[in-house]
Amino acid sequence: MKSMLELNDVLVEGASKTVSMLAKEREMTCLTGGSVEVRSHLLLAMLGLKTVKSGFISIDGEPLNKQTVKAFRKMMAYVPNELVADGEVVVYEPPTVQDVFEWKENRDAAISNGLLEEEIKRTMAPRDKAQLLAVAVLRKRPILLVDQPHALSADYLHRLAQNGLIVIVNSDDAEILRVSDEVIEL
Amino acid sequence: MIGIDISFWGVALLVVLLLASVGIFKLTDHREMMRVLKVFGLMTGQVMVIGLGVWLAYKTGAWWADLLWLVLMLVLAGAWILFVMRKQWKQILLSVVAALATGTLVGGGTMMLCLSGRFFIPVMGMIIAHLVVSIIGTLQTYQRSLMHTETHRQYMLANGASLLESLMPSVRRALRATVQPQLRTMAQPLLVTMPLLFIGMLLGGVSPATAVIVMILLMMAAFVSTVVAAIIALYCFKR
Repeated sequence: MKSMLELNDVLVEGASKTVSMLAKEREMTCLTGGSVEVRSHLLLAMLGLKTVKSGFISIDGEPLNKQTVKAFRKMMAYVPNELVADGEVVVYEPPTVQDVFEWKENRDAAISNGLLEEEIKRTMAPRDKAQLLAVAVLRKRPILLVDQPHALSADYLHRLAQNGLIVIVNSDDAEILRVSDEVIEL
Repeated sequence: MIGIDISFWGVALLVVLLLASVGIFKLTDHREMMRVLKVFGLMTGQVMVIGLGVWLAYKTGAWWADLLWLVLMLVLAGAWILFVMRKQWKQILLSVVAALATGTLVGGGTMMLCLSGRFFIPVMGMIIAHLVVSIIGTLQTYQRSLMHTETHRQYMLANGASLLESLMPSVRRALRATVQPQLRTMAQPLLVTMPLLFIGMLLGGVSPATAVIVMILLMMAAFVSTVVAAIIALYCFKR
């Protein structure tokens, strides 16, 4: 049976209407329309990092709640739009690639400068965005959530989906929409 | 207690010189002069209140009087920290109480194992003074770091970090803020910044050798108590 991530009448803060969707394995699903913040909020809600006002999120029929959130998160990798401190305060340095792979859960992931550079090149995106995406991909999780990916990464993301991942992106970009198997209009 | 003869004419000269110094500010910067006068007034008031407490404790000479003085100092220290961070007082109340109590118990308690009971008041006073500065530094840094790095923490939690791992950068920043003022003071040449306590001990008639030993022990105890207090404060902080 194909793995799937489901949103059932989910309403998040700032949204005017509920969202229902079914993201399947080997498919790239794109959230589009409405406000960017609401879509970003939805991605974080799938990770259990933002609350939902109503509705529920499930993976393979198992609902996301306090008991399942850790197990669900272990199945996901997340790529933010950018990684800067809130309020543009420069003294707070973001986590580095080395930090990510030093966390207990990622210690088994294969990582080297060579592997990282190779993956960065494959993404085709500018350096900062490419690095965030490459790090998430190298964690080798079955679900990949990408917030506002670069248009040049469209084919790369589609290929990842074809290779067996559930890829969910938040984008208004025509190129990303073109390669998406499923488009959810908010 | 050793009394010190203070010359009336010496004091009078010092007061005249102080007024002359303040007068310079009156000519150049009136606002700063008001600030200088306010700070001097506050400092004198505080020294007199604390001095009265210490005097009463020494006069009574009983263990309960020392303990009462300690409790009063802890309450004042806690109230000051909560006043400085009054916007978040509900969030930090538990942290402040737990950190002050544990820091004083660990640092002060260990020092009292090393020294005789007559050092109780100055030792505890110094430990509490260090704790106040460090707890404010720790909590302010930690709170500011958490506020500005929500995006970082979301990224970390979403990519395999545990809750503790996601808080570690803020914890590191807070611990750095805890020890840095103390390290900065210790790193400066003693000829430039002669520790007040060291001078106080010499003024109090303690031999220089004893003063050196007590000073080193106190710096060690203060460091330990600030680190312990910081860890407790961070652990109890409501996120």
